[in-house]
Amino acid sequence: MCALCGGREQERHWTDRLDGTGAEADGPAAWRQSRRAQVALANRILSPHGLEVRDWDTHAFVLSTRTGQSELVPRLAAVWSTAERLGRCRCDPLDPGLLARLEREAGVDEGAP
Amino acid sequence: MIPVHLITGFLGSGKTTLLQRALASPAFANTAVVVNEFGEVALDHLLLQRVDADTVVLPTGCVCCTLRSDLGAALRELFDKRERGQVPPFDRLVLETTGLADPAPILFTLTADPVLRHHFRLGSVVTTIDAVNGAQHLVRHLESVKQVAVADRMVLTKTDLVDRASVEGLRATVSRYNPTAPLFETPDASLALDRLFVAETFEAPPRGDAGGGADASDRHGRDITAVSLIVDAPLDWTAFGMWLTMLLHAHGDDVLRVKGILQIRGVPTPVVIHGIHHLVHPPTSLPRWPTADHRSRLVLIVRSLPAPIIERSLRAFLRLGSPERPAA
Repeated sequence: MCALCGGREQERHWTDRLDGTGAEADGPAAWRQSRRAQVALANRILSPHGLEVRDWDTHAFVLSTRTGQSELVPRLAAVWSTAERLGRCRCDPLDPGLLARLEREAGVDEGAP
Repeated sequence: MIPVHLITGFLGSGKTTLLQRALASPAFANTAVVVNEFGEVALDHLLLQRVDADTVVLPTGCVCCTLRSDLGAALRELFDKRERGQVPPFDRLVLETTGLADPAPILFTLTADPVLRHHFRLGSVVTTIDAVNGAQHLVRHLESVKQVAVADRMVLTKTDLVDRASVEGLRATVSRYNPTAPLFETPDASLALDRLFVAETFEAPPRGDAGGGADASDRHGRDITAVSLIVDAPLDWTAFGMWLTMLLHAHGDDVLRVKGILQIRGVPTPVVIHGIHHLVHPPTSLPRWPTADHRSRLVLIVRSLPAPIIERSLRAFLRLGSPERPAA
């Protein structure tokens, strides 16, 4: 726990980055880059539900609604349940509506493999 | 990190006999053993510890997120004795579960315990299936199917007590539920035990390059299928993590097992991933690819989830991380 800001020490989650795998880059810079990428992709999934994800200095994610309600979420895996509660939506990667939107944005014919 | 190997299987399927045989082998001299209960087959081993079935259900109510406090305490005690020199410095631990135990809470205990996760890691899940009664167990008991589904290695036991056609039928059945786990038989004097208890496991599905699709179906109405997915291009780790966490969030109860060997963009070595229900073990890397095929292979053993949609979903998410994807 940080004595100044109350931030918790970073706890690794399997999604955060690949340690000890000989990745091209490692260390704090890679951690931040990984967080930025996670935030960008999470926002692409959640923005249609009026939700915004931000990085809280690589310690956690901040999930906010358009009305200003915010919650701190410790790791990516917990973003989805918080998003469902705040955004009153379903976070399901098999949802046909979500898949159709992602495919449309990627310029892929809907339903194409 | 000390690998923790699990022996699971239905009641009377030969778990203790297999363990007994392993412990008699000189190669298993530095093995600690934790058993849920002392069965009829006596285990005479220096490093033997019993745990009681105390469990703590976390507020989520999720079955797989049940902390085995008894197991955690037993492992911590063993590790403490090892560090103080009160027991030999074991480099492998074998845990024999009770017949109906769900392995998911064991994985959760290893992953969530702040002490254990720095010293222990999940090794092989070895499932014993009794050739005499195994087929009936698979029909009547979902627990038996789950034990097959989560296996890294499957051992058909008592194959000398039934005819060959029955053994082959059972082999076909368990292979449909779990196409990735190598299948062994006992009694077999030549069975190499070191092939059962290995620290790192991943075998590609033997049915070849099916791409996406269901490899199995359960004719007893449980709709359990093995979905094999192959991706040619290197994966974006962020997009893959996004997809899998979301899938396990929404459908973790129906994802019995995830196993994969992945080619990750920017990572020169293959990355192995294992999961049971909502839980994913920290990924590890192999020093080299096991075959000349360097494509990512992912196998999900799922219940009542359509394979074509799973594949479509994975590809849609991977496009999000594709370097050439159009701007949102």
